[in-house]
Amino acid sequence: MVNKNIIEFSGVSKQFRERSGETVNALQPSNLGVHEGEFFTLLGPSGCGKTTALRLMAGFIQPTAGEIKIEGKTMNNVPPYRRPVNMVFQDYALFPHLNVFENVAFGLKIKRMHKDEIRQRVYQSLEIVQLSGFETRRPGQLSGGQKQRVALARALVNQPAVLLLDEPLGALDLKLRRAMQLELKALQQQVGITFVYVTHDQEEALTMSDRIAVMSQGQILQVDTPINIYERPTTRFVADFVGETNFLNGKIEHIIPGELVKVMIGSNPVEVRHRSNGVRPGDQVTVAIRPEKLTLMPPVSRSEKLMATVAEVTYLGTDTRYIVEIPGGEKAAVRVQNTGINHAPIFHVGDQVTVSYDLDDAQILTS
Amino acid sequence: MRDETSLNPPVSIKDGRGGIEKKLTGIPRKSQLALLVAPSALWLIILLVLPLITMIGLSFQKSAFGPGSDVFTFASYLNFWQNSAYQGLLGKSLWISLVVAVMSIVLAYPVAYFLAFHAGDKQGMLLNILIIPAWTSFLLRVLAWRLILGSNGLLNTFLIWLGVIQEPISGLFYSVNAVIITLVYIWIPFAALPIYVALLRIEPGLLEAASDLGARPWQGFFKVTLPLSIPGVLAAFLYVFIPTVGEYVTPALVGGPNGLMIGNIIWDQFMRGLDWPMGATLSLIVMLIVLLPLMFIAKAAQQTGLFGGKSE
Repeated sequence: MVNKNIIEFSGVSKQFRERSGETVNALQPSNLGVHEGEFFTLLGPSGCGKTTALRLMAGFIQPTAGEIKIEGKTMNNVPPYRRPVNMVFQDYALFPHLNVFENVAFGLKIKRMHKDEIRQRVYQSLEIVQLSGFETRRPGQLSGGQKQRVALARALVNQPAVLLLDEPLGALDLKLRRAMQLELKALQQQVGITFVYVTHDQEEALTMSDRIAVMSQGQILQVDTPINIYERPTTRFVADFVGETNFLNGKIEHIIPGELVKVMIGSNPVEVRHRSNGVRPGDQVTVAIRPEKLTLMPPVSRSEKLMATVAEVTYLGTDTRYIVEIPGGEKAAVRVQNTGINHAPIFHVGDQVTVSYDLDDAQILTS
Repeated sequence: MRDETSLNPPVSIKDGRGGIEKKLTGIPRKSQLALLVAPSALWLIILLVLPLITMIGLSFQKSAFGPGSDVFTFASYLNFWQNSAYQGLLGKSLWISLVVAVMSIVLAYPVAYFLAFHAGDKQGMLLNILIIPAWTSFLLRVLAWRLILGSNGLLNTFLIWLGVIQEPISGLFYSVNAVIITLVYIWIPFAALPIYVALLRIEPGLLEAASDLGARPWQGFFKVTLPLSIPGVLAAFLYVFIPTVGEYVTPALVGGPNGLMIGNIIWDQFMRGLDWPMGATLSLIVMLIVLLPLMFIAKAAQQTGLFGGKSE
């Protein structure tokens, strides 16, 4: 599949001047390509620059430096009303003086489309978001979920090249949010429009996206598929922000190129699959590994295994969470599913255990 | 409406030593509410309701004093019905008020718009500058316009100095125009404030949404900003229109014989003609004519959800 970029950032940065005269780098110089037809998510904590990036795409703000291209055309200094994108706002921004039909028809009326066509397209897009029959309601008479659908219909009816969504599910309760996540994803596949979605919810990002850009402090740290973002985070921030991760600090003892890297965590040797990320023996590094990738076994007296002591046991129903202490002071969380015969916690506080894992599941992080 | 207390049952706790209950709701009880409302209610009854009843009674009397004060008659109302001078003056007053209200709004809107959207951190200062003139005496401000509009006033002198005109324009002063110009000047801050408040309430996100949906700035203004500021515009209209209909100081000072309004005639009835029943009758008619349509407008506005869209 050829991935054509529908949105392209080349060295785009944005600085804001605060009232105090201080300049804030909302977005560091960034390169980014959003592929045509994909569900692309900008993920990060508040203040990381994800909304700034989205507003740069919409044209509400102009970049301090760099070039923004949409469908191959330079968008610098092109106002929002001339861009082939539409936005679903965080607080919906529905026009309170217009009813649902008029809200959805807003963009088409501006384009002076024929009345019959407006009617047909508005009804069609209300049908897509399952709000047929709500045409004459005012926004004030709708629930949060319904407003969200109207906002979606109002944007989609214009058939934009890219739909921008700014935390559209943020105001909904958890249950509705889960349902809407699946619905949005299905809708995106149905209409085939590129979605750029902003969220701080990592679960939401993993569920819906084709690709995710993780951002922090105005920087785009990693752009990859949900699986790679979760399984192969390249920075400590990404590993920490997306899901739970154990970070074990140690020193590289030796490397067998293409095979494995041996890292000493305290006095314990830990082995990690070697991937070429420029580490050398003697480097101080962090080994990252997810709690669910670790398993506990009764102690085996073999020097190559990681030995630990159970410090905490928490029974969580479907699984059990252990905190184990590795000699030398490092602690690690371990999640064990309560399946089969191991239907209840089998280790207790103070037990000696052997911690094992698949070589490929551990990652070496340099930053 | 259901009883306040049944909607919010007061939560109470007993302290261990027994007996003392503390109300935790913070909602005053009905008796407490009545106590709070009492002073203003009394004030309104003495200064609004009682005078109004007196006026209604007075309008049906033959005369205010002497033997005629006991005679019930429709004479004053009949007099209004038959006298086209009264009707003409009332019509003119309504017309002047309409022109003043519309002009005040047209001139105040840009001021309010600038204050709300473009004044930045100078908003507070500019707002004060707008309001400060209203602190000086109303009379002084009206009189100031005599100095500007008079035959030897500032405006004429300036225009002659420029060479635009050779002789003073006489129509400026002691005319309906002078009344309108002066009143518009006085009302602009009062018209600007409710519009300003209505504009402030508009979420900036709505204009971004309009722009995002293809609306140029002017289209965004006419399709979003203006419709959403209508409650403020209506409030401004009422603020200006209602007091202007009964205005008599300004026409007396700058209006001349042609600039008189119904308020001047009512004043005459009480202070010069001593026909208090006629004065009372004219006052009540003005009140009804102004209030009825306004109540109708307010109700219609409420039903269309113009004020906050609470209607079902």
